[in-house]
Amino acid sequence: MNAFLVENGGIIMGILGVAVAVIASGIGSAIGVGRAGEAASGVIIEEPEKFGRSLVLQLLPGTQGLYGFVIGLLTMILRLDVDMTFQQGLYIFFASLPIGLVGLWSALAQSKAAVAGINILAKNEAHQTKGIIYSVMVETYAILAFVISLMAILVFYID
Amino acid sequence: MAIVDMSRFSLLAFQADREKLLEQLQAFREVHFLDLRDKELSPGVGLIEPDQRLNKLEEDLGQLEWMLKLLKPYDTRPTGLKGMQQGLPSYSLDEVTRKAETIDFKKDYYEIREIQAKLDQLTTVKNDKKASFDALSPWEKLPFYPDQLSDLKHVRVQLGMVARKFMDNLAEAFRKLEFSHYEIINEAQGNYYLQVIGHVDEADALQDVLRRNGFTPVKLEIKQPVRQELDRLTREIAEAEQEQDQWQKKLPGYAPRLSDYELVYEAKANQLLKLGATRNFLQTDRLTLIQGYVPTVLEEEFRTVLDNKLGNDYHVEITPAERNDSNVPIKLKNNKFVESFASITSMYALPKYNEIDPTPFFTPFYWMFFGMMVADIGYGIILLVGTFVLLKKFNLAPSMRGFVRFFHYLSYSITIWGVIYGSFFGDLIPLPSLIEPSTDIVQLLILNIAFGFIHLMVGLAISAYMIVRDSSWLDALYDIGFWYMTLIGGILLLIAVALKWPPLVSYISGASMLIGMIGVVVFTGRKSRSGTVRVLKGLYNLYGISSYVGDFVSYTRLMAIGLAGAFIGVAVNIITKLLLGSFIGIPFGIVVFLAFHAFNIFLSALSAYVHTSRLTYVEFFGKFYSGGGKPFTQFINDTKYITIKEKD
Repeated sequence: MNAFLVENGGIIMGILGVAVAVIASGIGSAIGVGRAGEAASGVIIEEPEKFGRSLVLQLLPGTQGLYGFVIGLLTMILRLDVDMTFQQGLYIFFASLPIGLVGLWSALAQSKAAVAGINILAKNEAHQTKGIIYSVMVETYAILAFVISLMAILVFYID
Repeated sequence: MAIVDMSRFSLLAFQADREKLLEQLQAFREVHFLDLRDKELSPGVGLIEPDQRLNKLEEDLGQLEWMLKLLKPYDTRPTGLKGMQQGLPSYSLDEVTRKAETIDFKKDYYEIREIQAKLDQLTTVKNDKKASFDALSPWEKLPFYPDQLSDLKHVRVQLGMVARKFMDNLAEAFRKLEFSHYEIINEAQGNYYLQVIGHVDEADALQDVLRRNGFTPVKLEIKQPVRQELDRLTREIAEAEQEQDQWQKKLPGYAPRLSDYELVYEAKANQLLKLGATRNFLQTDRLTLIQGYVPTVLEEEFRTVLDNKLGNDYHVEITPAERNDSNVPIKLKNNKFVESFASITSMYALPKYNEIDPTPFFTPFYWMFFGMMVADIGYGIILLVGTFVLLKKFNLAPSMRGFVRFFHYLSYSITIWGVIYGSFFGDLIPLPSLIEPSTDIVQLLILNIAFGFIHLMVGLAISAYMIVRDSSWLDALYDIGFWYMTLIGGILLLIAVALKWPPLVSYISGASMLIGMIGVVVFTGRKSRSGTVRVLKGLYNLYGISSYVGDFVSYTRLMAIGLAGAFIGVAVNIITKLLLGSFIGIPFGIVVFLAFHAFNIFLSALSAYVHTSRLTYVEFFGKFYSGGGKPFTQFINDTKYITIKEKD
């Protein structure tokens, strides 16, 4: 068992990193998009013509999953290697934590703002853009985390 | 400046002339009425009673709206792209009024209302019959109809339902009865439908059994066997449906007149606005008092309008609007490029009359920052061509046109930054780049902060200009000048130390920073009387330097959002390449490439829009702008179905 870990620890940690980036941010986005979708459906019952506009708000919490996916994909293609050392694997694992964790929680927080934005859409359509802005503000932090994960994987990784 | 100068007018005219005056003013358009209702009234002066015709107009508008909504599904005019290309019909105000007078929508309205009433009535009939049908259908197998058996001497027949769970008990109870019998006609939806036959001598015992076991009597009000009755209902429902179809078919016949109805709607809406405007005015026995604003440049034209309509029978006073009056309506006027960015200003808040129009100042920054955040040659060219086609080939409504033009201008910036970053659909074609965003991170961060520095300095400079304009040079020095010394000195000091410049530079910049900081502490609290409070206030203001640090860091989003968009593009390319590797994957690869890059354009543009707005609203406006002006509303309605041509 020990020998197995010593031999394969690097790649195991690396894949774990890919998994965390994709899983955590994906869960957040899925819950977020789902929540916003529920709220949007409520609007559509009475006013189906607002579908397009509500779709924008529904999609907003979906981007975190995308960021996690990009990190996972780049890691897998550029960095994963069966011969990688344990340190390298661990490095990748920690590098994927920012987008994984921030992606998860920011998608949840963003979905709440998106639901509130859908309320604006329902009651005062003219000011819907403002609801979009409030919601996208939350995404700032997902973008920051994404950039750090990206930099860690692309630029600061030591072969 | 770019806030249009306004003049305030007070107009006295005779009551009798009021209506034709309003008509002329509506043609003139550029007049904004003041609401005089809250003014304290002198004796003999009163509000104007709402015009009797207003109710009628509102009723007409309601009817037209109802018709338009009802007929919408039958509209045969092109929709979608083709509809957008044609756009809304365009008329002059005069044409709208004249054409609307020739259109009689009332006749159609009553006809359509009758059709709709008929349809509604048929629906009710249909639903009633369907309900009867549903109630009757479980009894389909009943061999007799109840009336046939009501005359029997010794036997009573009754119908009823019992829930399935009570059925066993009921059957058990029946066994104890001697001269009673039940028959199961049907079983559906958890109920048994029973026909119960009992001898009159045993009637009481039978009723007792039935009551105890949850039997619900059912009375069928029919005069023929159930089967025949069901057939009759089916036939009648079909007839009702057929009749409905026939009425329904009449509705599309009105669809070609939709444009007419829309025109009347707009004409009436304008009339409503015109007649409703009187609620802002005051009157005496014979005179009407109207107050409001006209753009100063149109003052002469305004007088001409009055002269033409009223001759000498009026009195008007026109004065330049008070600078600090919060009632002055705001109209912004800029060149075409800057005008496209005005929606960003109005989304935040229009300036007050004594402020400055921020649009021309943030426009170049907005343009540049937006481009940095999307930064892709491919995306830029797609947007450029797309918006160009929309602008040239499509008849867009004015607000839509402004929005498209806004993106058209931004697409140039996106393309230019794409060239600088060497990005074409992500990394589709490797291009030489001036800055390689994924490796030259430190340079890029410095560039971002440098842009932020310039942005903030411009904001502060505008603030200084406003202080000089409104009070004095000295105040500008105290409130802004010292901050300039602090910030520029501080940053120069940092750079000088980092790059090991000659010590003289460090000394000078350090001294500048020190003087600036002392200045901030001593002078920014100068309005307080007590010395201690003054210094404390000054110290608190100096603490505001931490917010400048936050502001600078905030500009790193220029890089962050650009990278996020770019690497989503890179990921799309990776997937596409994987798919294109196999023969079966080729069509999927193409779909993935197109769909996801399209999605990424949308996403990047949305992010860029929001985050550039944030840099403008929070970092830039925070330095000099508060806003809160009321928009100048033209004396003409916002049209939905047509566009009304601008005056020449």
